Amino acid sequence: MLTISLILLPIIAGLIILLTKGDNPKTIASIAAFVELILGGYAYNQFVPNGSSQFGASYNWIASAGIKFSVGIDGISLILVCLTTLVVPFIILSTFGRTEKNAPTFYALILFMQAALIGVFTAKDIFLFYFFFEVALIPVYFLAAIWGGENRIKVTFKFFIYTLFGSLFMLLGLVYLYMKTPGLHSSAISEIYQIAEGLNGKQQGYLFWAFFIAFAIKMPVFPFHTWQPDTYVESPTAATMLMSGVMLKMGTYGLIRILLPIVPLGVQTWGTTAITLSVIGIVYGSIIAIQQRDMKRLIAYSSFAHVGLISAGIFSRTLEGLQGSLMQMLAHGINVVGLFAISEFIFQRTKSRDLSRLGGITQTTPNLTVYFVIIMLGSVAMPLTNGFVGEFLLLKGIYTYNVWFGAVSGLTIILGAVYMLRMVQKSMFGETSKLTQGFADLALHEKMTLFPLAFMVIWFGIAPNTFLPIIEPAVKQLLTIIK
Amino acid sequence: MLNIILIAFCILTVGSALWVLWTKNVLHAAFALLLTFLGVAALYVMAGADFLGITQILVYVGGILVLLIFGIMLTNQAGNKEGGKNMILTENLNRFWGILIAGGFFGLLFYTFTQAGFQEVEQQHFGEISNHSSTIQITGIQLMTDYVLPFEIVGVLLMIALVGASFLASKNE
Amino acid sequence: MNSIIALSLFGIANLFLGFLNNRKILMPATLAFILFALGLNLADWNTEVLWFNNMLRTNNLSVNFTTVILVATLLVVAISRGFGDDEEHSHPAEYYAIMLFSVVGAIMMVTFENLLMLFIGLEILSVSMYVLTGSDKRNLRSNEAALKYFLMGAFATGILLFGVALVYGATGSFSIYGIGNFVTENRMGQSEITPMLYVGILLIIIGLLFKVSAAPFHFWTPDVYEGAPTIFTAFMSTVVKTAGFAALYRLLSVSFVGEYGKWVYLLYFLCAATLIIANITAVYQQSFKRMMAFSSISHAGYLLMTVTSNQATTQSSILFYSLAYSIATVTAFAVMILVSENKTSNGKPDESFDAFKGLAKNNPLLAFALAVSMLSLAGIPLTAGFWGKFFIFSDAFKRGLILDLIVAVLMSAVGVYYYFKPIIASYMKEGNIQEITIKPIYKLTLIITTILTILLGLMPDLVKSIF
Repeated sequence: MLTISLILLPIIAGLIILLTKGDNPKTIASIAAFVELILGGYAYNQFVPNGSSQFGASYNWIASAGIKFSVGIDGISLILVCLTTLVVPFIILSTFGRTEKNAPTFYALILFMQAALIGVFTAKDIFLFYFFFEVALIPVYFLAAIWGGENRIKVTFKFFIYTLFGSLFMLLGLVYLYMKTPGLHSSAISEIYQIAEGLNGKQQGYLFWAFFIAFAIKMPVFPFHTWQPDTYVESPTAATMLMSGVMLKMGTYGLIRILLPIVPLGVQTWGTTAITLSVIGIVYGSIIAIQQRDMKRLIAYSSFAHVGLISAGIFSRTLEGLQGSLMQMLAHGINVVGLFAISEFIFQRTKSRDLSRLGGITQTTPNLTVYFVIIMLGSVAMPLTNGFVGEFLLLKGIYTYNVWFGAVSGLTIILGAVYMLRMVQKSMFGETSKLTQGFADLALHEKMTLFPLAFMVIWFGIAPNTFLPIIEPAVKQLLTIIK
Repeated sequence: MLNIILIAFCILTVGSALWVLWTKNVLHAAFALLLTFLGVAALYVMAGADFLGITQILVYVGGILVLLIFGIMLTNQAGNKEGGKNMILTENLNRFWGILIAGGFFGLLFYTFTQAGFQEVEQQHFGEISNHSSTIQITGIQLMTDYVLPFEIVGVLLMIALVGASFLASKNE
Repeated sequence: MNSIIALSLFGIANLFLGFLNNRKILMPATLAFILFALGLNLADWNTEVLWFNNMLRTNNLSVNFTTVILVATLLVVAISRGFGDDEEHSHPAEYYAIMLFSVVGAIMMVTFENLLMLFIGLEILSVSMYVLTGSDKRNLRSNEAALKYFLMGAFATGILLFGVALVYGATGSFSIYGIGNFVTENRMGQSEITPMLYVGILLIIIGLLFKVSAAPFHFWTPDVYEGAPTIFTAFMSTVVKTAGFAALYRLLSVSFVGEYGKWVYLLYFLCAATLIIANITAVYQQSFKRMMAFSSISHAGYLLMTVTSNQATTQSSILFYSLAYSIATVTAFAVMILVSENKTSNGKPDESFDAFKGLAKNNPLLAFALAVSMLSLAGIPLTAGFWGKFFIFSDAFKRGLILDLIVAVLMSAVGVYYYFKPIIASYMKEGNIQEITIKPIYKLTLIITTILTILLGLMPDLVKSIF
């Protein structure tokens, strides 16, 4: 029932918002998101850290075809549900400084997106998973395409077609597996796991690519990333945060939940290819990030690099790699939302994201500087920040898999430090430019956004045990399925 | 003797049909069509389908063709007068595809009918019917018993055709 | 059968109602007639009756198909606005009467037990369509469309009839079960089957594929859809398609199932060809109406896929898909009628995508209805169209139609491209469309169809469990 309310609450709140006017949408949306956060916290609190799925609920959806609306939360889901509920309230808070045209729809779409994301992370039926996986696209597409920048129509359309195209092949793969189930067919994920054991290497190879392309486009992994930078830049920042903070985790979550357990043989054959692509992404993304002048674009490429690392860790199929990937998903979600929020706050004041025209902001806003530096350090994975735990585990996992991959992936720390420090330095320090003169200090809602995010960066760094004990049994269970 | 008559009617039918095809004058085509219809009717009769043959003459020759000729005569021919004569001319387009598709279709049917084995088919399914000397009685009885529903429902079809024709032909108010 | 009789009588009643000098009564009366027929039809649920010496068969399958057809007709009539708005459409009684008659034909096509009834039903439906297509008499495009449709349609009917004759010759039966038994027994007995049967099957399939506008027999579709008055385009693309596929499915699954191994190849390739041709061509269209014509062809391709797979679930897949498709199509055309009339270019309704620019600003309901219908046609989850595609893909998987599946998936992605053009125009582009006044019944229809599309997208089992 808890899971169902987690999914339904944002939808109901969103529908209510659609009927309101004026400043109400913001208020209702943030209240709803915070209630959702409390629900998420309650789930975290009540969760018993073992490998099982909890808070389950199951209803007949399409009875004749054995498709059920069944949801539940296990350790892996919990991390991502927590991430979603943690991040969305602050995404909504960060928009308080702007007045959007047609605000009710804007906030309703954010909440619908949240519901769809939680649906993806808790689905226990492959078609329910696919359903939410696709549905999540619709609100974010409209958010980006209606409230985005100048080139929004073309760019977001490319994004939509691209991702939809990928997931259609996943649908084919899922239907194929579904058809293999005995009797009247069933699409429960657990059932599909069993069916998958009977597949031979060749079938698994095809399925691997059907799934991998879908998830690789979503994450994105090199060379399927071409939609990403433009879309991140053109979208309104709230949508960018949703995409980079949570939506791309649908891809990594899909790798863990669908790809690894269903096609272990396929992963054995093609895993190295996938890791190679991921590692290429790490290096490529980092190098391009270093050259960027646009803050948002820089963060977009950094996100691309980080996801490469997560994906490589997942494909290492080691305990550390998977644990690290989950920790890093959480950390990356928080950090990237923080970074995009800061870039948005700067943009609102200066109307520019061009690093060469910014600078000297620290002098007027010590607050912003502190938050920015903390979140930046989290992103660079300094020890005692949240990024460190995940990245360390990930690198260890990849190192165990193959020394050379580990070594190349290790570059991410150095390169990450380079582009992140460069960004902070160019935007915050140095001479005050024409644009940054009279830079106003943070408003209340901005502080309320950044403080919790910065706090989480440090808290999860100091106390990774908040989540590690939850992750461990779930990952171990997963590894037994794979082996 | 019968064979010669049959062949003669075949030649009449096909020849006049070709005439319809090749002539450019619509009125000539209409008259050639008359011969085609007559030829077909004769073939029906010779195949033992007397009812069909009579219907063919009544409906096509007596009805449709007359309408067709009326239509041609009543058409506004202001632009088609040439030396005082009425000339409605037609064009042939897409000859390549036309000949290809028609030829292919002809080949298909030709093959089918040479392989059909009509006598076996007749024995297999239609032995009873072929014993009757005339099909008129049998058709009448069937229409009023087994096939009464199609017979009635055709009324709806005719109704639509009438309503539609009168609607399309009426002037706008 | 009851609904056939009722609708025939109602059609005539409608003609008489036309004598009254009160046009306002016609639309409510027609709606009431259709609802009454729908009630009669549903009353036949769970009864199995053969009518008039095996001419028609009423069973749950036919009741379901009839329901889909009647619902589509109901929706089209509800958005017809009485045809009384302008002088051009000055014959509302005739329009409604012809529509009711044509539904008689459509119902016969889904209940037929005898090939004669199929032919007569098809003719009734087709002749009505020829008339309705040409009903905009002052519009040259409408005239051209009607003539084109008539010539091509008559030719196709001729081919179908020829096929029926050959099949009758080869099997000695008009009854679909009689033919089915003969074909299966001959297959079992390994005896030589005369080529007449094969050619007959081929010609019948061609005739029906023409009616449902599958490639390569689709050439008439864009011109006819574009030329016909939009309201009749909506009618044509829903009712004719549903009835055509019902007939095709019944014939192939009952009569010719014994020769599955032969015709499956034909449909297998035609299905792929239809999908490719329709979707690729649709991308290049500038006119919304023409795009919808190609969309209709492409949906014929999807439906053909499940017919080709010939599974036990095929009938329910066709039903669900037809329902989802009909609802979405009627919605889309309903929005288009309003928008294009509002914005004229050169005195004619503007039917291009540009006409939708900025629609969402002052007409949120219209824009939302349009978006939902387009998403449904594109097969995006949350809408009925997704499940329609899902069921069809499942059927195709059971049969292993891999080529068709891959083509279908690729073409679904292409489909998204053109279905999003109107959405983008209405939500994301600037334009100056003032608030369009909508009549209550029109508005209600739009709301109902939109809700239905989403509801079926969330809970397909609502109707899937019945089908």
